[in-house]
Amino acid sequence: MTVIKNDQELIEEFISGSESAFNRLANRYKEKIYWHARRMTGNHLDADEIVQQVLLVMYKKLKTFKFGSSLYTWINKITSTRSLNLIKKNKLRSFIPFSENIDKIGVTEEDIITDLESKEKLDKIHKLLKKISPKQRRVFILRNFDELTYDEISEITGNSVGTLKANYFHAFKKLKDMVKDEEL
Amino acid sequence: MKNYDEIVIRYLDKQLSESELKKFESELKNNEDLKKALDSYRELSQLFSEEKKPNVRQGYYNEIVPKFRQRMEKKSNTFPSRKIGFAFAIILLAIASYFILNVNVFIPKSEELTLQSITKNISEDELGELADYVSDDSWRLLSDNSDYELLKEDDLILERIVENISDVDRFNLLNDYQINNFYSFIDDDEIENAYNEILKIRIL
Repeated sequence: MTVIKNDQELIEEFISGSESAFNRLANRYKEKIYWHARRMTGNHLDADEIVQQVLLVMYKKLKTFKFGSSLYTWINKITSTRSLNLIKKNKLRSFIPFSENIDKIGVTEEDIITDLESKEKLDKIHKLLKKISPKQRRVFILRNFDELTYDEISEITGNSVGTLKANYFHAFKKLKDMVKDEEL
Repeated sequence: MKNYDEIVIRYLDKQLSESELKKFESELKNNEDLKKALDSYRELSQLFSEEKKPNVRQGYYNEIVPKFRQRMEKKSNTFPSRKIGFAFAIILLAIASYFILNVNVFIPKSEELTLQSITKNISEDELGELADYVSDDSWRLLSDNSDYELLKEDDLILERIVENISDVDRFNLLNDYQINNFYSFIDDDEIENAYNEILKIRIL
């Protein structure tokens, strides 16, 4: 029988040298990391890269995790920051095409979505999300998709609950207006 | 028509107090406009909830951790990054960023991105200002790489860039180089690091 260990137990085991404990933690959160990143960046390749980066940060920094917040909140903070950084970096890269690899930006050909209908739906949603500012997008995703409380989001973003509620309101309203405009 | 956006969003977000909720639900029975507003937001929420569990290629999630382990393995076997390329990348990106984002110099996409194209028509004062903009750490990185195998000529130029010359001269020397010339000794990781560093230090 497999014993389900909680995050704290697995972290302690990992700190004591158990690599398999880290694998179990990574397996526990990988989907959530992927989907937060995917919604933020709007494409599979960037999301896939962010998952790898977040796992690396977890691997290196778990030893310093203080249990002041939940592990999920901590991971979300890393994922969210990495996603914002990647968005900024892609923007910078499009201004300054330093290498010949500029064509890689925004490539969405490779994907993990298997059926066309899901893919179309997903593309539509991610296209909408991309039209709101990255900061509003982040709050909207954390609240609507990741289903975090405003206090948890505040811990992640460093913004006050009042600011977050305002961000969420503006994001939701903009999205609704965009959908309405599309229908007209 | 009255604007119901705020109350509807707070309702769907479960942020209404008990009394607000009672009032909202009672008004909903008789107010068509409020009902319409709620329906339009519900439609959007429905679209989002359908996104939450898409079918993904079988096995993708199972590949994530092994891929991470492979990358870890590869990283630990990789020769430490060549700092010289990184330093160049940082400086060139900082310069390009400065002009594109602050001075708003227009560089057509068709034109090759060179220091020449970026810094032409720039006054000496502006070059001085730009030299301050590029962090000292980046300049210093260039001089910290004496073990790097560069052509003799490059060594000489680098030395002159970082030691005892004026800001204007630094840029005049760098102007002799086109960014494309650096491709040969800057790898993808260094370019990634440079973009990261620029974002961290100064820009955006």
